[in-house]
Amino acid sequence: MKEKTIAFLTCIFIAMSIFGFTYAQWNDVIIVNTTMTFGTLNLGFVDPLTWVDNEDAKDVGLIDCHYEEYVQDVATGKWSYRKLVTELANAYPGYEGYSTFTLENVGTLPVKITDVVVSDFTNTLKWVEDATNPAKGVLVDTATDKAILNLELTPDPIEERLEPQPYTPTTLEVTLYLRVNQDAEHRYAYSFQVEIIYEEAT
Amino acid sequence: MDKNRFSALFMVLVVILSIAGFTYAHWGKSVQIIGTVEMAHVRMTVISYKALTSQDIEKYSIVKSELSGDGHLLTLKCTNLRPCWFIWIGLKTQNQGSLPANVKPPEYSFEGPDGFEDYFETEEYFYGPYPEAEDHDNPIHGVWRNAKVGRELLEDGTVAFTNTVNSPSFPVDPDEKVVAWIWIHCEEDATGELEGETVTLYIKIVDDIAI
Repeated sequence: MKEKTIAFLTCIFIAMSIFGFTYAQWNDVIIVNTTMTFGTLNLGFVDPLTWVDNEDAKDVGLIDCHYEEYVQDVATGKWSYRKLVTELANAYPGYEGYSTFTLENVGTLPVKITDVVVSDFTNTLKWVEDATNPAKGVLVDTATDKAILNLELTPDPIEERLEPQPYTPTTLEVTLYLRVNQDAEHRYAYSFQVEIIYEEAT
Repeated sequence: MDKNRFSALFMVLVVILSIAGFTYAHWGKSVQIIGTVEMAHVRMTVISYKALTSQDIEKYSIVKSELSGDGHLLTLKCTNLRPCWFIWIGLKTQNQGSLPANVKPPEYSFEGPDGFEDYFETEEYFYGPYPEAEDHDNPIHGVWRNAKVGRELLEDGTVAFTNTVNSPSFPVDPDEKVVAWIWIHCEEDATGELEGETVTLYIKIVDDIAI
């Protein structure tokens, strides 16, 4: 009897621990998504990733791109990256960089891209989006309002739907276009972040 | 019976919450692009300079020169000017930026009696670009090391260097060097008002991106 009681209490203890932990984690999901679905909602960067600039003969400016945060979807076993890093170096007014990346639905649920949010966590630049296309705009100097960097994602990924395998399409190829403007400061390092937000497609 | 129900309930709870936690752990609502843009810079800088004139002029006129800290502005204070006074200014410049730069004619400005600048004339000769390393066979030595007034730098504003003259604007890659010789001359018909005056000349380097 005593052993049964101990076992019972242990079960309660474990169950409550898991419940408390899970609730704490779930809380945000309930608020943010308002839905609860079982399955994996997982969009990630996959190869191919290519990049090019607008220089012909002279190789002055440099562009380099790579993916980071390699993660595996537990349901499908597919691997993808959470981040794309795009670096322009020795840039000058008129320098343009093109980074073409691939997004893939590596989860089990259909995905819809709902928004593109561009920001600068250093607050040096602020995003002024195009009136008709949120995936296109200019990063302007916060202090002077001068245009520093043109940015555009083509095609506009918002509202694009990506299916889990075996359905199609599972992938979307997008090009990030960057152009340095005349008012960019010499010897300055600018930074920005583009967040591609998605949710389960209904 | 009650025990079995409790056990079953807890088991179901544990399984459901485990799956829920598992699912949450793999729930991503966004992917990110992190971008950085490091800007280049253009910087043609005077790394060495010479102010030369004839021995005759040195007898009555004193020239004091000063180069600004950033190597962009050379200031010459010239005393006791007379008609036919002249000076040869040599500028050895280097592209210390990270971009190809366009060398352009320098900008001149004067400080002195009103209207005196009308009596000055200038000639400019550009040589280069030359490699950064000044090895023995670097042709930069032909227009810099032993340049003398009356031999390569003539009193009439012409030069006798064997190196080829380049015409601005022309591109200079990072680290490359350019030599400029500038002849500044006080015309023969300069009025007596100018005589004995002190004049300050400013020579400013002008550059631009050569892309």
